[in-house]
Amino acid sequence: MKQWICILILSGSLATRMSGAPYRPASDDEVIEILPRGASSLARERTSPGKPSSLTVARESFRLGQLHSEPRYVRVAESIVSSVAPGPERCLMEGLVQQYFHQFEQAQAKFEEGLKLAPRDPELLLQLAMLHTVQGRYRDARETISRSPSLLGTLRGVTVLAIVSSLNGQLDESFALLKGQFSRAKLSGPEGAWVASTLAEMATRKGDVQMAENYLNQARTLEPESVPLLIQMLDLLIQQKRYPEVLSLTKGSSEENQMILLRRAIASKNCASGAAEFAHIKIDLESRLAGNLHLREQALFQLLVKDQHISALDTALRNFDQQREPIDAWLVLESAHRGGIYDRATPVLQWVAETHLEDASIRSLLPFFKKGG
Amino acid sequence: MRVLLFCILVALQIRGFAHEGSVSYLWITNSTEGTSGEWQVAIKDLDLHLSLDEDRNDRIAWGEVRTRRPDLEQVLRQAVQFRTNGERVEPRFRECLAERRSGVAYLVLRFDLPVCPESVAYSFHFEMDSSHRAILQSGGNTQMLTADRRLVSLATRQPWFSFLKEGAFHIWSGPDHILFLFALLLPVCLARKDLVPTSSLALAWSVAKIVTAFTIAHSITLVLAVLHLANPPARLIESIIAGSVLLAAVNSFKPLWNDRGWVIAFVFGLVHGFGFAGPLLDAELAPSSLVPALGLFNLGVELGQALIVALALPALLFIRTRELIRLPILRAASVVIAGFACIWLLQRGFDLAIFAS
Repeated sequence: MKQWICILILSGSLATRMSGAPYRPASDDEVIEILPRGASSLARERTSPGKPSSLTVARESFRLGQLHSEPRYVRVAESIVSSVAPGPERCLMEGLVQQYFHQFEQAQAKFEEGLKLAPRDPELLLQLAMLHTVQGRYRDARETISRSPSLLGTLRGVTVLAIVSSLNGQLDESFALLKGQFSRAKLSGPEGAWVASTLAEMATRKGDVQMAENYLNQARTLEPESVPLLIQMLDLLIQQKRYPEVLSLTKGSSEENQMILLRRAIASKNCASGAAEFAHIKIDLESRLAGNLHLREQALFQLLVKDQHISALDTALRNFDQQREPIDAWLVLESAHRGGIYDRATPVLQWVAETHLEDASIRSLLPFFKKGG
Repeated sequence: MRVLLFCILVALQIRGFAHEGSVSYLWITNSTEGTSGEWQVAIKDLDLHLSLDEDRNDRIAWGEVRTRRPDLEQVLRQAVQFRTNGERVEPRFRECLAERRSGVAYLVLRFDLPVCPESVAYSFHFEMDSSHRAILQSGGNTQMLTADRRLVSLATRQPWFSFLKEGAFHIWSGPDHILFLFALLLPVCLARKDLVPTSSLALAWSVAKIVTAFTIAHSITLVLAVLHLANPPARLIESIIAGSVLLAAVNSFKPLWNDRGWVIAFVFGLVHGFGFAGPLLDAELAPSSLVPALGLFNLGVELGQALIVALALPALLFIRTRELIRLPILRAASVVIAGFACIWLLQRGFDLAIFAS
């Protein structure tokens, strides 16, 4: 009975932590909200009377939302873009916003609409190529890049082509090529961070964790505020079962962002010291992910937090229809393996074979499917 | 745990994000002291309208908000417009507080209304975020205000009857609750004569004890769950409920607790109560509506439960008088119940999809 009462009290206290009560801050100096860097300037731009909406402000707003994983700023970008004059740049921004919210078909249509107006626009071509890549249309991605010979000579063009090749049986060659280009180019800022994080991703797939970590640290030095890079680092640590480091990296910064909170949930579940926190995060995530459209995150939550392998497989398969990246394939295979339903993973296995995808984590799962299937 | 792959999303912009949208919360409360309201709005959203960060250090201090009270009042008046009989009802600004919800800082604006409004028109932030929404709670009703639905009526009748109906139907919608009760009543009526009450009075007493114990127990935990005083994991609760049905069915073959079925009904009734709480939790009731809604919902559950007993008992009493079929029916029914319980236990406890499409 005592145990039961303890459980009730603990559950009650955890439930009340999910949303605090209104309070009056102790002093005028008490900080009640921290804004992403640049948000104040954006607010001033938005509230200044007579300032026309501009694509520059839209780009700033989008960048802010992307860097800090704050969809509200992406929505602001969307609203600004809707009032600027039609043209290739507007198409690009509209496509980027739709892509951010995983409206892939609409995004593709927007990029293509922009390319009708400016057939060799490098930004539009790059984004369209990346969209094709994410959805597993590698031939289309290559064809899109090759439409602009000048793009082929840039590191950005080379990076996209390296990504495509690395997903088609040429991982080692693509990695070596991009590594050489990156070390020669001495990039900085977001572009450098992007190439470094791409190299980290390739190194992860090669199974070279130390190399991946080095590149990720490099990327995070170039763009220290980037939430996506933090998430990539957390994923690498989780892969290595370095759960205390995940807890340490996410301490105090995880509550607002579901993606970070999800990683913290996975780490706390696997860490003796995180047991009490795990129960709280799980309830919180459950309610917050309920209306979330991001299937990959839902599948990860079902698989690695809730241990619902069959639900995770259903979600992962629906996600695989939308996105075809190595993690999407891995999610299906891992869910099918844990649930012991090997035959449902057949489309993914066929895709892995057809594309000659090289990935250490997927490779380690394949023997189970030969036995089970 | 197996090796976990998470690779970076390789697109320039396509990196996975959870898309938590912009939401505000609006409460309208009627009491004997009058009508009051509360609007909770994300400070990051408000900042885009008022540029709150005066010293441009990307940190919003309480003083930067507190000193903008006239602007806050204006935003409130523009964003949320109340009407009664076609006339505007002006809110009287009372106080401003802060709150954190799931890591997001909110400003809490409290106000009073001279009369109870009939409708609310909401227009905040839609020009910057067409996906923004406000959750409005008033008189036990929860409504959503969106860019496509900016005006809602508050004059709708309190759906009290719906809680009664929800409770009555809820116990019928979950066969596990019915089967648990039925499995407890089965041996009381049909087991070997040396194990069951012989007189009608003793039989009625045994049945009443089981039903009452189940009622008291599940009422306790239903209240705890709805008041957020206890929130055990759903999977654990559902698994224990399945286990309780299995145990009750096994008792028909091998008596485990003799005439103490009411103790079992009480112990597992505590767990079943958590299972009943879902519809009320989903309704996200305002605090003032919670007690009557809870009372009516529970009453509905009791009515549903009484109907189960009223239907099952005459049949069991009839079978009780037929010696030839009495024990075979007891065993057959128990096997069927145990079968269902095993399936539920596997599904819920081990996440196996049995009979899944």
